Amino acid sequence: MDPTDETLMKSWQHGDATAFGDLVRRYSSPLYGYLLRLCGNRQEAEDLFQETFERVASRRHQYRDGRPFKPWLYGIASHLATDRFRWARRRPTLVGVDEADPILGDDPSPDEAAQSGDLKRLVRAAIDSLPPRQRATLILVYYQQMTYPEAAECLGCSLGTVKTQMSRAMRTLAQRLPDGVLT
Amino acid sequence: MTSQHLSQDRLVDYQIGVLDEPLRLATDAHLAECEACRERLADLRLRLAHLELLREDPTPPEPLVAAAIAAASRPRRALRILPLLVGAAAAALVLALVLRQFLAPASAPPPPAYGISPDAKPPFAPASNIELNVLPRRDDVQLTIYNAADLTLVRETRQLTMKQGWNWLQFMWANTLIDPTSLELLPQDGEGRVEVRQLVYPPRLPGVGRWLMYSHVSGQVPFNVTYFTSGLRWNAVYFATLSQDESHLQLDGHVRVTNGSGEEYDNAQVRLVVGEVRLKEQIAQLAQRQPAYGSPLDSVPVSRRPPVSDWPYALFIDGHVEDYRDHDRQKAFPREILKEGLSEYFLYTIEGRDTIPDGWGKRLPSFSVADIPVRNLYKHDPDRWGDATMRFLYFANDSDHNLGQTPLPEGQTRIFRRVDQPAPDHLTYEGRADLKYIPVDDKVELELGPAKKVSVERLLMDQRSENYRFDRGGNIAGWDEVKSWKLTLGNRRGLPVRLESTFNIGTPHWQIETASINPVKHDASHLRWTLDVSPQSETIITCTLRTYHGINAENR
Repeated sequence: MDPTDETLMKSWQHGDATAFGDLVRRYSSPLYGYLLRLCGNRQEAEDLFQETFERVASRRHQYRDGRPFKPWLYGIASHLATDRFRWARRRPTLVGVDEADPILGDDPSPDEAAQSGDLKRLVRAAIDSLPPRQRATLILVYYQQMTYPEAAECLGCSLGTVKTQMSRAMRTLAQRLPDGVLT
Repeated sequence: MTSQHLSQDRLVDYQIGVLDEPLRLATDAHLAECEACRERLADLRLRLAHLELLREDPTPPEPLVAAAIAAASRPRRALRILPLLVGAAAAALVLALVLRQFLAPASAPPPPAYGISPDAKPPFAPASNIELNVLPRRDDVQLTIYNAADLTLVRETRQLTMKQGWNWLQFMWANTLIDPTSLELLPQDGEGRVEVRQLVYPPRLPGVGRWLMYSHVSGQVPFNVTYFTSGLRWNAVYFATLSQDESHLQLDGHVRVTNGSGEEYDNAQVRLVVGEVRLKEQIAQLAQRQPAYGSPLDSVPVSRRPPVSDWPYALFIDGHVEDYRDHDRQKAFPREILKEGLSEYFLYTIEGRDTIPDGWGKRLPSFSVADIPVRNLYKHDPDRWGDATMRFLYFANDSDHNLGQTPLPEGQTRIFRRVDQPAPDHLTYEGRADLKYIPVDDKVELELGPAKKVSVERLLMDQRSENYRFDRGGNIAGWDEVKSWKLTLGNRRGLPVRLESTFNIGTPHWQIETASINPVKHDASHLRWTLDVSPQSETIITCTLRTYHGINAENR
């Protein structure tokens, strides 16, 4: 049986460097997916991924024994991302426009993409159109399959706020997502 | 069957499980009875099921995970590790590809001249329109702020991760005062491994520009991004402290930088330019124009283009007009603003680096020079200042006055005086003056405003006319006027003052009959007395002037 996150964290606090490596690998894919969905940009997601684990490393002594690790980790990531959004709102930005969206996979040619109305692209656009806080709540609850209390802990807000944000996000998506049967 | 159907919002909240218990039970009960609402709920579920299309989590690059793990041992340096590791991975990938396809040594430098592959067709547009509201870190930034115009040249260095082939880079300047027509991107690898092909302003996307580049390599490439912005200003502030006898001055210069550009510049090298730059249009106006270049003129023959004065963006430099559209736009943007005249240009570089948040100002010390010999002069000239007597300070921006190292930028000066009352080494406020731009070896004049304790009173004591001459009809054709004046120059200060009184005679035809103190002829119709007046005393000047009128003036 694999050790729990909390056990690994405790081991790392006691000097076991490999425990931290196990934690990073365990959460690399879901956390990267969370950040990528949140930012919509690979380079930014990579930066935040790196910063998140750097922050975890620098604050490992603040981690309280027995506290659930996952909400703590995602809380740090969400906090960094929120700071970045706030920071970027009034700044000129310079980013790479990836020709292959890592979430969407390989793209068709530009002409085909313009004509095909790719369902994935529409879903992605609908999610991207949400305000950052609603988007973060949606991704945590829906894609990361957190409970509402866990999401509230991650985002540093009340349970009621998380439910409200989730409700608003889904109401918006209900209007913006395409009709029809998913094939 | 219930008459009132459930709202869409209620159905959404029911679906995601955020309804409280009574509402959930009521919704359950309604759905059990209402087929229409059940169908709507089913439709809603189908619609929301599209979210599953993005369910799968992507796998992060292995170098990224390795760098994150390395953060545990070197948390403070982790951010520097990532580019190295990613760069190493990219280099390894390139190496493998090159070895496999061309059997060429991967460590060998790239060919000296890279050409675009004939098979590499430029893409029409970026393949994905993902939201782009983030930015990679800015490694370095240099601000060159001009005080003569609302103009700042920003030069940034950024490390960008390129992939082999076509790359798009997007620049967004919403809510800032950046001039989009001035954007320039230059790869700094020095070997031509990255070629910047074009800068596109996409339609219906205000505040967005995209560069199309072809990269021959994968990995990180340093870039310089250069642009003009508005809203960053600097001005000089001076504090002048007179000695107790007002014979010397200590001058402290400061520079105040204010950032209202909408952009925050961290750890920036700040350079300040004193010089004259004439802009045809203000950067702030260009920053708000959409599209960036206005209506394209490129399709209009040169002979039919509007005159230069109507061009949207041009710099007047030494009498020449630079219009960027006449050149390749990627190359045309000058590396730095040229000055209008070499002698009128000076560059201050603030030592170290500063962070200037948006909306903030910062004052930095510039210089401090003591024991500057200074000349005090009070001036009375009713033509210019009415009855007031104005106070002036004079010195020069030269080595005789312990200055002359640099021009003095335009700025506001506050003048104080050191006094011994009520206690030793106290200061009194003497006034405020605007200092104009002073080149090296030029004179400085500070106007401190009206002086209350130094005055000039002018009284007409006697007046008569004589020497009448008549024409053939018996009408007066010429005459003389003789006026006697009394000027009282008063000094109620505790220090001697030098006072200059200018007297307007009103005609160029005059003669001094008598004068207790001889004046100097200032110009054709003005006399001037310059006197030292002792403390707490008055100096009285009497003067009789004869003026000639009509044919008496013509015959002189």
